[in-house]
Amino acid sequence: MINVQTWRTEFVNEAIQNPKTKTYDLTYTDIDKYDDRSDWSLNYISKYSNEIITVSYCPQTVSLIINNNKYGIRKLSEYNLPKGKILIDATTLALPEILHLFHLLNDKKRSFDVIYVQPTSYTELKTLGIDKIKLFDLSDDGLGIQQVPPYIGYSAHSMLFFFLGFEGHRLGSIINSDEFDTRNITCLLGTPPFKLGWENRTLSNNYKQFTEISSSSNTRFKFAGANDPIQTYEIINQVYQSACYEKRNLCLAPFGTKPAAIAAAQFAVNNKNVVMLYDYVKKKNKRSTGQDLIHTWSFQYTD
Amino acid sequence: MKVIDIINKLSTARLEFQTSNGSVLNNFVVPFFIDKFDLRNISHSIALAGSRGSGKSTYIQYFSHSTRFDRNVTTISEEEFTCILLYWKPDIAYCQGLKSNWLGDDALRFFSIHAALSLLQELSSLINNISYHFPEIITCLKDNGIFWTRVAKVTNSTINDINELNSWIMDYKYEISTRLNPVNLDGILSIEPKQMLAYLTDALRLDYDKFSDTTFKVFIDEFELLNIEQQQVVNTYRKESNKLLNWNVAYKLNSKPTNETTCDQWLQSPDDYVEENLDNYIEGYFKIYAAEIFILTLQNAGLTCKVPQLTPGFLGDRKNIEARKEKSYQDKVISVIENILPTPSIKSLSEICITNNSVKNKLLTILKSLNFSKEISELIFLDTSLALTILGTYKQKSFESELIIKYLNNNSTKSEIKTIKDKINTFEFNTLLSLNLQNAFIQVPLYAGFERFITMTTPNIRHFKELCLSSLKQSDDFDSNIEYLNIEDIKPITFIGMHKGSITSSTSLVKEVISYPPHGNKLSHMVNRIGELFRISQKASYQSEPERDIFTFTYDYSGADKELEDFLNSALSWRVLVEDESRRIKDDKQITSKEFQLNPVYAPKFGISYRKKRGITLTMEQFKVIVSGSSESFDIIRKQYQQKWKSDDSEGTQGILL
Repeated sequence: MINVQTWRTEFVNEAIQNPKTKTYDLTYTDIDKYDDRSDWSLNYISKYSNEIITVSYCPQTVSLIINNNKYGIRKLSEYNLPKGKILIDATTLALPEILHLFHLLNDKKRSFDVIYVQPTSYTELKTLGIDKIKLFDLSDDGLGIQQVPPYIGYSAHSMLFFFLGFEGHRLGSIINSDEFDTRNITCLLGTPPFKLGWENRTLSNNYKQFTEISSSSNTRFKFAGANDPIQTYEIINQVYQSACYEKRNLCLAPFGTKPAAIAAAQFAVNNKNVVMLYDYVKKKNKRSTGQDLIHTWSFQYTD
Repeated sequence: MKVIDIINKLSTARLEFQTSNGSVLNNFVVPFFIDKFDLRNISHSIALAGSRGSGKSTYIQYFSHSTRFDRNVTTISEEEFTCILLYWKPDIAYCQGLKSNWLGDDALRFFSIHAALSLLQELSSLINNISYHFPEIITCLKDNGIFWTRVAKVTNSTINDINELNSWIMDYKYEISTRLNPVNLDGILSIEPKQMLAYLTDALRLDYDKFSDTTFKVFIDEFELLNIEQQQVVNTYRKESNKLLNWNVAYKLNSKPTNETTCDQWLQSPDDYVEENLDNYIEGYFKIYAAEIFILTLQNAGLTCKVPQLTPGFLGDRKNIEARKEKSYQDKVISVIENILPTPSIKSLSEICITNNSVKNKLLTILKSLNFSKEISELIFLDTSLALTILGTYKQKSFESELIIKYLNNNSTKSEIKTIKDKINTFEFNTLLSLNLQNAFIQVPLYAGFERFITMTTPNIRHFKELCLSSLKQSDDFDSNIEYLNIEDIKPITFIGMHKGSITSSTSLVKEVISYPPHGNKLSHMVNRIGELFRISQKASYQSEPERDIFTFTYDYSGADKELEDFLNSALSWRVLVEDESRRIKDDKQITSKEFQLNPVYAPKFGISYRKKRGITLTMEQFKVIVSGSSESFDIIRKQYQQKWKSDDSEGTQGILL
């Protein structure tokens, strides 16, 4: 299993220097250039890593594309993992890539570091009128909610744990898909958030969905720091224990912050009977601006 | 019950969430068409299509053994054994996860096991349900032993009764759930669902006399959401349906499941199956059906109804259909519902509107400018429908003061009277809509009333119930401390309460569109932008034609633009759009054959009409901008229409007509 051993947080302008020797032998990233953070993190890993390896996940072929080579998920262990110290750039990678990289590294019994750069703001949707909730323009249509192989399991009678984000319609699509039993839903709110007051954005953007599910369910809320994967992991574990007690599968829908998604991926890799959901939304260009803090988490493999 | 308790009880919309055993006994109003469309009596395989919220699942469940043999049914006829319906709603999220690109051939093996375990569970539940009424079934199965021997063979375990079977199914489901990560099929049973079901139902026939001539029908719900390979397997079963074992499916209207099978012979309609459209059946009876369902919902919330026939048992018994078709009965039902949700006529809406001083003054100014005499003006004010129509049409080129004067002096010919009446029919409601949009201080309750709720929601029962519930919530004139016992005690919801309720509910439904997978963002753009264009049209100071709320675009639907057609199918499947054959083809050069209207339930959100009237033709480029263009690109289209229709888009209280 993999566990977080250390956590370092710095301001981005203090984090980037010109090191004499490179800290990492290889870094897994997705060179997407979606926003300021992508440019910054590419610059960062270029300075700190000898080799940059691009990774993307293709849900149609259920494969991980590593440096343009396709590896089916069932045969991912055939990927020849290079030797040396490994970094994962979670800023640009989405949940499925992070999940499969964690899965791979756990299988290969390797320790690694993960970095994530927080933005200074997210792009708001341009709307007319003064009385509307601030909506965010972060992603375009995806494939719809799906289970991510191999984290597949029965969704009927499962316990759904949804991580709330700024796009309430992503929770809405779970409600409207009619495929998930939202009567037994637990929601995670990232608080304290990246910035003071951002939790209100999360709440206001999901308010409509709360009122919808509250009519037929007894929604439970859990709280963990938006940039705290350690606390988030502990919260997931609480929900998992209660799901196990009730002989239910735990369905994780980590649609909130990236650090929370990292915790979800770590938890799925470390535990049995965890189902992972993702909607494969397409990130929009310029979805965020600026860079604020950079987090580095060291993950240690233990038997 | 207090109003707040009623509201809370009504809030659970989906009936599936209210049943844990699959029975819809006393929660189902038997529709009038049931004799024509008894799922058990139709010999061929059926594909039941219906739009979202039309009640497909509930309809199937009504015929399933869970309802037919519900332990609370008092007497069960022997005829119930003629055909037994097994209902299977696959675990769609799980099935979709079983991708062949990941699991190869094992994907279908996992699917087959899931199907087999679910159907085995259904058989177990069937035996259990029947045993409530015919306890000898347990002894017969035990004494004859064929069924349990075969179950043992299928499961490779010693199983002698229902409890052991249920326990084995639960354990095996758990076992399977541990075999996907990592994939490991070692020692896993290979169960072929169709063979298994044929084998076990045959055993039931041999063991228990009442089953000797039984047809077993399997209904697979949400078929369109299964993977293609899984649909192919089910289609092969459908093709091989026979009198003893018959396979059927249900899916959303306008979804396009495959007709492929696992062999060369594809499924063909009508030879192999017949698609039945539930919406078409419902539409003809929607008004009375919706009224009965709402009354039943109130009863299930804890209220009683003074009309003696109106009980859950009466509504759920098909023997009463003829009685329910009688006018006297229907009048009683409508009277109960109209007492809660009274429908103001358009004329009375005009009367409400004209009480507004600004409207009155504006009309006076217009009448003066048209040189109407004082006497004629007074007569116009007495005929509010005419007055409002004049307000909306006086700028039209075809407007004739003389015609109105003759009409008011009773000097018109029959055809002149018809002209005036037609004008009122067409433009009175249109003018009221425009006035509401142009002036924030005018709020005529245009969306109030049971009749309008029906027009806006047909054939979606769920939307109808949401409008009713929202009206109850919005109506602030209920005394929160009053305890209600009877439905008839609920006093009429105010027009403005219903109007606000419609707008709230409509706004909420429009907001929901973005979460309709997989094109939610695009669907939401389309609904909001098309709604905005029609709002601009409705707000214009000069209404040259009736309400615009239909659109079409220049495309021939030949499959040339697959992405566009997928998108439109998704819009129709979610019933975001309503499609119709184009009635406005002007010449042979017009290549489009279809016209679209936003779901009428979205009309209150935009302040536009739910009546199907006039339309606009968009170019393909414009339509694509509306669906997926940036807000800047859409702004260009918006401004073009604003200019064309001479409409002001400011949200202020500055009047245009006034």
